[in-house]
Amino acid sequence: MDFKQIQELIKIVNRSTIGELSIEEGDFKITIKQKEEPVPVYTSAPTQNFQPAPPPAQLSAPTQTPSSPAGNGSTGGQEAATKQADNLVTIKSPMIGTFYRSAGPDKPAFVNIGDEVTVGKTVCIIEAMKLFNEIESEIKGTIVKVLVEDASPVEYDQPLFLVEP
Amino acid sequence: MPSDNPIGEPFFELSEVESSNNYAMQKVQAHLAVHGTTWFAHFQKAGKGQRGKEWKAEPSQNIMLSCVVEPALLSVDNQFLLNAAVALACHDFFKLYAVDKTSIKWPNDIYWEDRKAGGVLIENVLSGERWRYSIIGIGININQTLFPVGVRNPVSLKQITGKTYDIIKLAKELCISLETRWQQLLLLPASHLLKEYSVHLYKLNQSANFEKNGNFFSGIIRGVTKTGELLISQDNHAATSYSTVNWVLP
Repeated sequence: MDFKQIQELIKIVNRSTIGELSIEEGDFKITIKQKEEPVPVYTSAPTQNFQPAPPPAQLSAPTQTPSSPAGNGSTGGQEAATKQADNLVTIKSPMIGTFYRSAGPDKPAFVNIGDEVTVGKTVCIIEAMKLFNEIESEIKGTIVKVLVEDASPVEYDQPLFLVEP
Repeated sequence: MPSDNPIGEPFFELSEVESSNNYAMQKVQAHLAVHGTTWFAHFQKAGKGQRGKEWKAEPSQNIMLSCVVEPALLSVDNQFLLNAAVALACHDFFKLYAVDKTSIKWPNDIYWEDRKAGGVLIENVLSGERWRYSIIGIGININQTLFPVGVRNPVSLKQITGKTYDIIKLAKELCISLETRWQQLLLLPASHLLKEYSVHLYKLNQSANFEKNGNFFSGIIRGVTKTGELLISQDNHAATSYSTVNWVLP
C-alpha cells in the first residue's frame, strides 16, 4: 500500500461513520481510527490552552511506514491559522462583569494593538456591582488582538486579548 | 505588603491630591504601602466617583480617605463581601452620629432619609484570578453645608445634627469601624455580613423605581444574593436578581 492509497483510505474513513478500520496485507498492517469527539471548530478567539486539534483520523503503528507522515486532509490555510494561534496566549476574564478598556470615558485605553505589555501591566477594568477590577497581565508580549468591545458584558474565562509572547 | 496593621495604621494626611485612590494605588504599585495604610485627603482636585464621575467636596470639610487592604485568602467570587463589609462600616459610623434614618443604597452609597451622605469606590487589582489588593475609597459629607448646583440630594452630618466636627477624629473612628467589619469579613460566615447588609438597605421591602436597558419599572427590594445582585420582586412574583440596574430617584 503506498502513501497515496493511505491518504485515500483516511479520506474515506473521515467521510464515513466508520469508527475504526484495520487492513492487513502480509506483514503490513494499518489501523485508522476516527476521533470520537466532533472536530473542534476554529474560531477567532482561541483560548490560552489552545492546542492544534488532533488529525480527524489517526494512523496507528504502520509497520512499514511511508517516509513522510500521512496528511490529515486539512488545507494549507488551516494549518497556517493553527500555527499562528499556537504562538498566541490569551488574557481571560477572571469574572463576570462589564469590560472597560480605559479608566474612564475620556481616558486613553490601557492597551492598544501593537502595544508591549509586561507582567503586572493593567490591561483593562472589569466592573461588577460597582466594584472596579483592574486586570493585570500575567505575561510579557505584544497585544495582537482585542477580542471584546469596550463597555460590553463578559463572562468568566472569556478571552479578552490575544498576546504574542 | 502583608502586615498585621489594623485599617487606619499608618494614617497619613494629604493637604491636596488629585485623587486619594490614585495616590494610594501608586504607593502600593511602588511597594511603599502595607495592608491597613490609610491616606486622608483634605482636598482632592479630581476626586473619583463611580467610573468617570467626579466626587466634589470643599477643602477640609469632609472625610475623603483611601485605605489599602490585602484580601489574602478571599477569592474573587467573594468580592461583594468586601463591598458589604465596607458599606456596613460606613453605615455603622454614620449612624452613630445621625442616630437613625441611615441606610445603604445598593450597592455602596450611604443615605440619610432620601439624601446621599457618602459613597464608596472600591478598586481591586487582580492578576489572573489572584486578588492582590484593594483600594477602598470613601467619601462622607461631614461639615459641608453648601453644595454645588447639580449635586443630587446631598446631605452632611452637620445639616442633620447642627454640629461641627473634627474631621480627622471622625476619619479615625471610621477606620475603627472598617477594621471591625474587616475582622468579621475574615472570621464570620459570609451569610452574617450579607444578612446585615440586606437589613440596612435603602428602601428594603418598599417600592422603588428602576431602569435597565432603557426599560423603566418599579418593584419591591427584597435584599441581595450572596454575590451581591439586588433582589427585586414585581407584581407579587418571586424576586429577580439584578447585577446591573439603575435607580430612578424622585
